[in-house]
This record gives sequence, C-alpha cells and structure tokens, in this order.
Amino acid sequence: MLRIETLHDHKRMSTQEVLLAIENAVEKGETEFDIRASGQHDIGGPLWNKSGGKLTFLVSNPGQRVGAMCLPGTEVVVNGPAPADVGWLNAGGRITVRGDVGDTAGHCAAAGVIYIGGRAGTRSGSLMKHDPLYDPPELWVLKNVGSFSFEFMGGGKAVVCGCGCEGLASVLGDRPCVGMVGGAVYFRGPVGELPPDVRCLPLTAEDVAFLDGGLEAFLEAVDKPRLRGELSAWENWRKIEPLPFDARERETPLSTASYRARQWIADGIFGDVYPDDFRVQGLVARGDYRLRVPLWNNDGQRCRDCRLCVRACPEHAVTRKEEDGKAIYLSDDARCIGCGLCAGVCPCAVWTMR
Amino acid sequence: MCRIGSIKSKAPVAPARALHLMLPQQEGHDNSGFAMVMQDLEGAFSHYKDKPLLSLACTPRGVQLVNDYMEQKGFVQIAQWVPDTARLPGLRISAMPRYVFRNYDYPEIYRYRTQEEREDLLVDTRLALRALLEENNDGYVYSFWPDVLTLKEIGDPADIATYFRLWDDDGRLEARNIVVQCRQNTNYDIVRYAAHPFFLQGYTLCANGENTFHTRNTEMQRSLHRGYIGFESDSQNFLYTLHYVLHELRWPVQYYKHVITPLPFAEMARRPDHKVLTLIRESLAHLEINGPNAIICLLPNGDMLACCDSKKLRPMVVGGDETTVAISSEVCGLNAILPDRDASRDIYPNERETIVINNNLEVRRWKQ
Amino acid sequence: METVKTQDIGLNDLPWILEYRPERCTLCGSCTAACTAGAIRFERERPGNPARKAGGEEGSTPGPRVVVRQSTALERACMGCGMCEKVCPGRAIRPVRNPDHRFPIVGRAHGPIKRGGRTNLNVQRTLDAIVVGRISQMTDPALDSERHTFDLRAPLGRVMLPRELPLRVRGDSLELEESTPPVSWIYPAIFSDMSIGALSTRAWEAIALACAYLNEQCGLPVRMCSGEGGMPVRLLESEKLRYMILQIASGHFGWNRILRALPRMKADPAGVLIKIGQGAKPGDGGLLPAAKVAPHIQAIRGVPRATLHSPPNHQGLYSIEESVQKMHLSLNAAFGFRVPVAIKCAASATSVSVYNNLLRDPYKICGGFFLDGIQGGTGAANEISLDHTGHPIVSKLRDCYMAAVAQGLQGQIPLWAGGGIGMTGNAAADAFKMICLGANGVVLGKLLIQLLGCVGNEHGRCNACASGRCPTGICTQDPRLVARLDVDKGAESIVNYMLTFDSELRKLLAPVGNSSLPVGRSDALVATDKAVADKLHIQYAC
Repeated sequence: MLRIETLHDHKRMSTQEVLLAIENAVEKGETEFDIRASGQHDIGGPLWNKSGGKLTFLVSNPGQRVGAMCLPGTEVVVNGPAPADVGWLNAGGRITVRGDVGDTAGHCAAAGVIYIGGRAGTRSGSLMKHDPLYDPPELWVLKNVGSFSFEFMGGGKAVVCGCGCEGLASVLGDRPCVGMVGGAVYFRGPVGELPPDVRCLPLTAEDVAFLDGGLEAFLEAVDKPRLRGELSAWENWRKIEPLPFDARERETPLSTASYRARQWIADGIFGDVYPDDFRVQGLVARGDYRLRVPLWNNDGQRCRDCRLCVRACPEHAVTRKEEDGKAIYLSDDARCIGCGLCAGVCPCAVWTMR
Repeated sequence: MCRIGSIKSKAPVAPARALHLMLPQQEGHDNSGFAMVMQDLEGAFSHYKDKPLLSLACTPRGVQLVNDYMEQKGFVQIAQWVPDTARLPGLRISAMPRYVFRNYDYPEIYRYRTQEEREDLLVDTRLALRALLEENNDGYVYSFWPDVLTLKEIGDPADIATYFRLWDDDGRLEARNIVVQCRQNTNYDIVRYAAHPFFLQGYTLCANGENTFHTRNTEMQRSLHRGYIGFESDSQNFLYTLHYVLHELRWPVQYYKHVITPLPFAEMARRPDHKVLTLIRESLAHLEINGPNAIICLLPNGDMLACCDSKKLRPMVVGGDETTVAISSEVCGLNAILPDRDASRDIYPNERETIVINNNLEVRRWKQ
Repeated sequence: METVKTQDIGLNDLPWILEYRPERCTLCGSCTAACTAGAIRFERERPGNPARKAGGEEGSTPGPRVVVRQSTALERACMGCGMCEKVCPGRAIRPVRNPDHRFPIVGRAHGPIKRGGRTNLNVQRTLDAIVVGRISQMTDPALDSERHTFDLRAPLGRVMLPRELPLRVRGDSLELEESTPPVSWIYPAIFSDMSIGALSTRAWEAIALACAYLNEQCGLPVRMCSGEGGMPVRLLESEKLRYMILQIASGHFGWNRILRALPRMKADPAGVLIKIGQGAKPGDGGLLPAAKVAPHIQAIRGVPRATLHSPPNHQGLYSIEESVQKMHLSLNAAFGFRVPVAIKCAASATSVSVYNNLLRDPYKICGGFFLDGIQGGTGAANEISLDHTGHPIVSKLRDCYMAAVAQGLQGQIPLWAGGGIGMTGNAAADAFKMICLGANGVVLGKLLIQLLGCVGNEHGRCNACASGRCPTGICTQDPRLVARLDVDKGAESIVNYMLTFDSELRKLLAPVGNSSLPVGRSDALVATDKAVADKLHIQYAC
C-alpha cells in the first residue's frame, strides 16, 4: 500500500508530481494506493499492473477526471464528492464515488462501471458509447443528474435511481437525452420534457434482469445496501431509448398545395377581384393563353392555296376547308400555340399574328 | 479558465482560509495572478468600518499624487495599514513598490450630505484617482469604500500569499466575506485592472468565464454610468450590469439573471409574468451575456449571490456548515476548508438558478 | 431588297443577340410561342440558300426554308430572359450577351429608359469582404447548430429605455404599471414590400402563402410587408393578417380598403411601415406603368388605368418631425396603439441624421427604422435612378448603429436593413454579417421573386418588370403570363429556402458561441479589405 499525502501545510504536490509518483510505483509493482489528494486531476488511469494484478486506489478529495481513461483491472474508490469528468473515457475501470460528482460524469465512457453514491452534475453520461468488442459501459447514480444529461449518448447503460429526490421535477434534470442515438437510460422518478427522437418505455424482463443483477454490487459499492428493497420495486422504473434510426424519419411536411387547399383563404386572397383557378400554364400555351394569335385574312384574295401553312404548323392546328369552291384556312385555337410559323411560311402574307 | 471562490462566515476569517479554498484548484488556472475583495472587516480595520477604505497599489510618486489629491478634496486620513511584505528571493510575483490600505474620513462638507451623495463622492474619487495614476503609469486604485478591501497582484497565488504573509493568520486582516480569484490569463499582457473580483459602489463580482457579448455589452454600458469604464476583462460587464440592475434601476435581485441570461422567448411566453420579462429582455437586450460563466457576487448588504450561464458550461458548487458557507469552482476547494460539512447538502447551481446567501447564512435559491 | 442605312438599328446594337442554329431547329414553334418580348418570329429564308422542307411530310415537295429571326425593333429587343432556350427541344436557340451593344445610347430615343431589377452598375459586394473571423474554440465553446436551442428573434416596435419602463417594485417582483409600446419579436428576415401591382396576384399570393406556411407549419414567425399597392380584402379580413405589415407610401394606394376593413379585422396586422423612400430609386416615387394597371389593380388602388406615380414625398410632411407626428401618430392611433409602426427610408448620406431625429421620438411611436440600400430591387424605375442614385447599405447601417451607440440608444428603434441581401444567393451569411454590424434583422425582396422563378439579375438580364412582359408571370398583370406561375411551387421554394436560411444562420451562430442574435457583435467579424475594416470599425485580417 502506497500512501501519498499531497498537501503539507500549504505546499501542494502538483498533479504532475502525484501522477508521476503513482506511475513509478505501479512500475515497481505496487498495486494498492491511498491517495490523500488535494484537487489533483486524473487519478486512477490509465494504468496497469504488468503481471495482470488488480490496481486499487482509495482517493480522498480528488480533482477533475478521477478515473479518467481507466483500464480494466483498476478500481478507484473516492470517499466523498468529486468534481467534474469522473470516469471520463472510462475504458474498463470500476470507479466508485461515495458522494456527489460534478459535471459530465461518465463523459465518453465506453466500458467499465461508474458508481455514484450521490448526485451527478450537468451533462452526465454525455457521449457514452458502446464498443461491440467489450461489454457496454455502465453509469449508476444513486440520486439524480443535472441538466442536459445523456446528451448525444451513443451506447451503454445509465441508471438513475432517484433516491431522496422527492419534490424534484425531473431526476434527469432539464432537457435530458438531446441527440441521444444509442444505449438506454433507466430511471426511477419523474422526468421532464424529452426530445422527440427518444421514447420512454416500461421495463422488459431483460431490463429488470439487468438492473436486478447490478443493483446489489452498486449499493454495496456506495455503501447503501439498505436501499435494495426500495429500489427493487421495478414498477417504479422506466427507461429511455432512442428511436431506432429508421423510425426517426421526419413526418412528411404538409405540401404548400395542401396547405393552400386546407388552411389558406378559400379561392385565394384575390378571389374577389381576380378570380383564378390556379392552374399553371406552360411557357408554350394554347387557347386564351397564347401570347399571339394567327389570323387568316384573304380579303385581298392573295392566298395561292399552297398549303404551306398546313404543312408547317407544328401542332397541326391549321386546316383547309373549301367553301363555295374557295379554299379557306382555319387555325384551331385549341391546338394552336401562337408560334407564328403559319405566318412565317406564308408566301402571300395572308396569315398575320395578332 | 480561472478558478473562483468565496467565503461567507458568521465569524471573521483570514485570507488563509480563502487561499486554502483555492489551493486544490490550482490546475484550473495558470498561476498568473491572485485577487480578493474582503468585506465586513475585522482586525486592523475593525474600528473604521464606516470610513471609506482606499485600496491602492502604486509607485512612491503615486502615493504622493494620491496624498495631494485627497488632501485637496478634504479627505482626512484616519488609519493606514501597510502590509509587511516578505521580499523573499524566488517568489513569482510582479510586486508594485507600494501597497496602501487607508481609511479616510469624508470631507467636512459631506458631514450632512445624504448617503447617496457620499456614495457618489466615493466612486467619483476613485475614478479621479484612477485617472490620475494612469496618466504616468503610477499605480492602481481598486476600491474606495467603507469596510471593503481589495488586494490584487500578478504572479503565483501561493507566492503572492507568501509575499503578503497571508498564509499566517496574525489577526490583522479578517473579514466575514471574502471573494477570491486565481487567475488564468488570456491576454498576452497582464493588466491588474483585468483581474477579478471587480468592485463598484459596494458591488463586488468575480466570474469564471467568457463573455462573447463583451463588445455589445461594453458599447451599451459606456453610456449607462460614469463608473462603467475600463472593460479590461469581459467579466467587468457582469459587474456593471449587476450594479445597473440593482443600484441604478433598483430592481429586485431576481431580475439580474433575467437580464444576463434571459429565458428563451418561447418559454417566456408561457409564464404569467411574460410581459415584464419580455420588456426587460427588450430594453436590456444589449446587456445579455453569451458564453460559459459562473458568477459570484457580493452585494453591499453582505448578500452573496451565485449563478451560471444559460447552458451551464462552467463548474460551481456551494456548501457550508452553521458558521461558514463557501462557493467554489470545484468541490475539492470546499473539501479543503469545510471537510466536515454535510456534503450531501451542497448545492450545484442549475443553469437557471440564482443562489443568495444572507448574513445569517440562510440560503435562498430559485429558478428564473 | 430594303436599303439598310448606317443609322438603322441593327442586331449588334441590342444588348442580347440570339444565337440560333437552324440545323438544330425542328421548327416546333416553342420559342416564338414562349417569347414575351416578341423578339423572335419565323421568316422565310432568303432565296439562294439550299432548299429545305418546311416541316412537311416525307415525300412531299420541299417547301421554302423558314428560320427564326430576331427583331431589331427596340421595343421588341430581346431581354435575355432565355425562355426560348428553356423551351427549345433541340438546343437551337439561346440569347447571348452582346458586349458591343449601344442600347444605353439608342435606347434613350423616347425618354428615359425604364426597367425593373436593381442597380446594374453598383454591384460591389462589401459583405463578401467580411468573414466571421472570431470563432469560439477553447474557453468560449462553439455551440452545436443542430442540437442547441437558438433564439433567433428580432424586435419590431419601439423599445423603451430601461429607466423609462413603467415597472414598479412590489416585494421581490416587478409589476407593470401601464401599457408600453407594442413590440413583437419576429424572425430576423422580413419579406419586403413588393406591391400588388408590381407583382402579379399569383406572385404576391405565393409570397403571402409562404409567409403563413412558415409561421404555421415551421414555427418561423416571418413577416411580410404588403408594399404600397394596398391589401387584398380577403386577407385583411383573415386571421392571417397577423403576419402582414401594411405599407403606406406617398401614394397611399389601397388604404381606403384597408380602413374599410378595420371593423372586420379578426387580427391586428404585424405592423405598419411608412415608406419614405426606396433604395433602388431614392428621391423618386413609386411607379406602376399603365401596362400593369389591370382592372383588379385599379380596384384595389382606387384609380383608373394610367401610369401610376407615387410622389417622391409624402404630401403634407414638412420635415422628419412632421412625419413622426403625422404619420406615426395617425397610424399608431388607427390600430389603437397596438401595432408597431416603423419607417423605411432609402439609405443616404443623411440617414444618420434621420435616425438621430427618430431616436428622440418623445412619444415612443416609432417602432423601427428600415434602411434600404442601393442594391434594393424595384418593379419599375428610371434606369438612371437605379444605376446612379442611392447609397450602399452596409456602411450606412453601421453608421446608424454606431450613432445610436454613441447616445446609448442602441436597440431602442430597431434597425432593419435591406437592399441586396442575398444578392449572391447567400442570404443567411449576408444577414448574419449585417446583424453583427448592428442590424436587428434584414429585409429580403428580390431574392423572393428569384425563388419564384424570376431570372432577372444585376447584369442586365431580363429586368422587364416594368414592361408587363415578365416571362415568369411574376411582375406582370397579363393573365396569360400570370397563369405561368405555379403558386404552390413558388411558395414551396421560398419555404425551403427560408428553412435552409434558418439552418445556415445557426451554422454561423454556433461557431461564435451565441444562441441569440449577435446584434452589434462586430468583434465576430473581420474584413479582408482594409478600407472596409476601417470604415466599419472591425478588425482587418489578411
């Protein structure tokens, strides 16, 4: 057992000094540590015993990131509270804090277990992940967590027991689970508004088996074994899961056409002064929508009856008729697009465009 | 990132207590400076609690300039404490030649003036002294207010404490309220005025954060009050807004949070007081802050106030026992000075919360 | 054969020449049918060319060769809209810009050239010399544009100084003692004032539809300003009036119907905008050519068919003070002092004085200063005004903001800036930069009709808005052309653009670490042009 006193009067060992002392001892085969910290960071990881032995750290008053990057085979126990980033990037360690923890506890943890014997701060459990090569990470919290908890959570299991949280509006804080895409959050007690892409469900038998299987070890670790009975009333628990990726499809927005039909002013806002059927004409239009209209005027008897117009008309709108033995040319308004080819081709200028 | 802390105690405490509060948080800053404001003093200043106390760091010429000015204005010096500095080799401190802490009596003509007029005189005097000292770089005047002492210096906080012999509690420097900062310098040049806590007319403020609305806050504040000057740090904006809301507008304390981090419009609309809140957001839109922050304020009546930014991007915890309450960036600070408190009653302020601790150490907390 | 004389107008005198490839032409007639300018028609090819059949059936006698010809008549000059190219199945025809044209010279034979669009000369892009250069990375972290909540709202209405607020302390709370001027917090982009008349019914309706859709389906409280051509009565009497800002300009067109509708209004309008001037043609009044004064326009505006001019000034306004008195007071009163009343001026060397005058506003009745820059669009103006009068918006907006800052009055009268916002299609970037420079929000106009399908640009393309021959059915009252415009599709493209605008605005807010609009946060910007940096009081970077 190596004990490190980090504070002598007001002379404090820096984080660097403490971590180097630990590392040297681990190198020499030491496996048990009693760190009397005064806010030093990163105590507990990533370290390993060369012969595969277990490393244990008993820590008092750590600074940030206690148990950060912790590896399997390391156990960290903090007596009392700890500041931010407990178990950050936990890669397999077993980290216990027997008190409250600061913000972003379990941030990016991808393996191992983190036991919190009190409350956890803002953004706890954010970006937890599950690497399929290993067991999913676990984050157990005895009481409640702060706002923005489990943001962007991508995997793993979080358990928020809600002990002593009577009167609290949400044991998961405000705005939890935003951007959550994986994993599950088990909780006991009220929860605030959840984002649309997660769902809140009752526990399955499998969920109960997981909680039941893990609860005892957790309560043992945080020294609250008497809560076993209270917490085993599974009907008081729920879980939050993200919607499966495929179920996340945004609902198809109302088309503007449907909006106009259903929620807009009937017949349009100009219906009283400019009646409109809202039908859309192409750039090439027929009938009344033509920009120019052909007119066959043979008053000057110039038509040579050459039929070029009939042949030229791309829409087959021009027809020739005989009336009293004289040829008459007509353009069908329903077919004509007003292109003026008839007029263009006519050698006698009988066709004009108006 | 800086580290901030404060202590509020029924029994006077020495700066050493504040130093121990900050010591475990050393990795949270770069050891580039230390500053503290003490209010409700005991020890050397206990007999002059109603007399304005000038806190000054300057050159010998600066002392002369101040003497002349104060004499000319009719202030009468009634007490002085000059710290017995330990000029040990190797201390990392950029010390000024002189540190002066003096109580003055008001000029005779102010004998029958109102409290308000006296308060105006004090701020005007401080501003005048500041201008006077700035002219030839002769020093810094941090506060001039009854029962308030400010000490700031550039260097390693532990060495600064050694230099001023603050580690030893000789009973001469004690107060019931201490607000303290260990500094992370974000500028190339270290400006003493940029070090928190800041002080104006009885209001002290210390923040750990960044104010991305510094420019628009500053542009607004310049025209609001003659005391809103300097702006060496983006956190001065917080003090000036505090002073403006509480002292100038005389609004209840809950509105400070509504001004600096207003509720989103959608949430405001659902509240019964949405008209008042909307008007405040509208009229004081330029005093909104953005960016991560944890803020500790000490009000003239001794109330200590704490709040955070709207996304809760900075740490802060409040804890205490029957005689002492402390606020700290990190809980390891509380553990250092209040190891026997009931830690399960610690308060971790939510992004919407304001915490106020009064002189009886009663804690009020509410969500905005 | 006609004799061609040197002074005759030839194709090379025109700004656009149609490049026509007869070997690709199928003689389908689409181009001539679609051309609203009447710039092209079919003609028989001169003899001497190889004979070519004119679309007859196989085996029939070859007919004379027919080709598409471009008219040299000035009144039928090709405007480059490209509809012929769009409809041509064989890629046989397209307009090509003619660098040698003499249109500015020959086009003035019958008086000033009139057109729509925006300035074609002053298209400098100050905003593109500015980048968002202060990025939060370390201690002031950037936000996540997708996840974080943003409060993208801008005020419209008279904001009071904090000291003037009628708040009384009661216990721990403040209570409101009397009413305050109306202020609404709306989306920081307003659909600008393009009138009924300038726009076709369908175009105007499409924008109104998009505006309502954005409010009701997307939660974006976008407001639309009517323009000075009155309001459709059915909209006045609908709940959706709440999205509309009613404009009153010097012609006061349409206000009879607006006033008559007052007793039947189900909702208050979003605001009233007093138009003093317009950036596209400052000092010149509104203009609606007779070609666009169709019967429904006559009805809504209460005038016969004629070219409608709005006077450059509001009659009876002797000064700015007078305008505050008369216009602001009367229009505030008309809606029971419940509706913000704002004022729109063309940016000018004197804008700061105007703004300073407004800022004094002792009656708290001026609810916004809309500043319109030279790059603003119009449906009809004299080209000389479009190209040669006006003031760039960016520095003027900044000047006004800094003038307010100097007096500690920033934010009291919201600043809304328009004129060229989104000129390059990047409206969100433009808006963000303008906001950092001091604008509360921006005004979008030309961009909206471009979203509806307008092909006009500031390089002389189309700009036929004044002629009644708008090929897209947007700026015309010709029912044949109006029918070309798909209201639903048009509205949809505006909606989609605005949703993108919203995402992009967040994409700029997030890296500077702000969740509410950074009005006046000039420190977030750097200019890559020293002169721009100096003028705007922002950092220069290179």
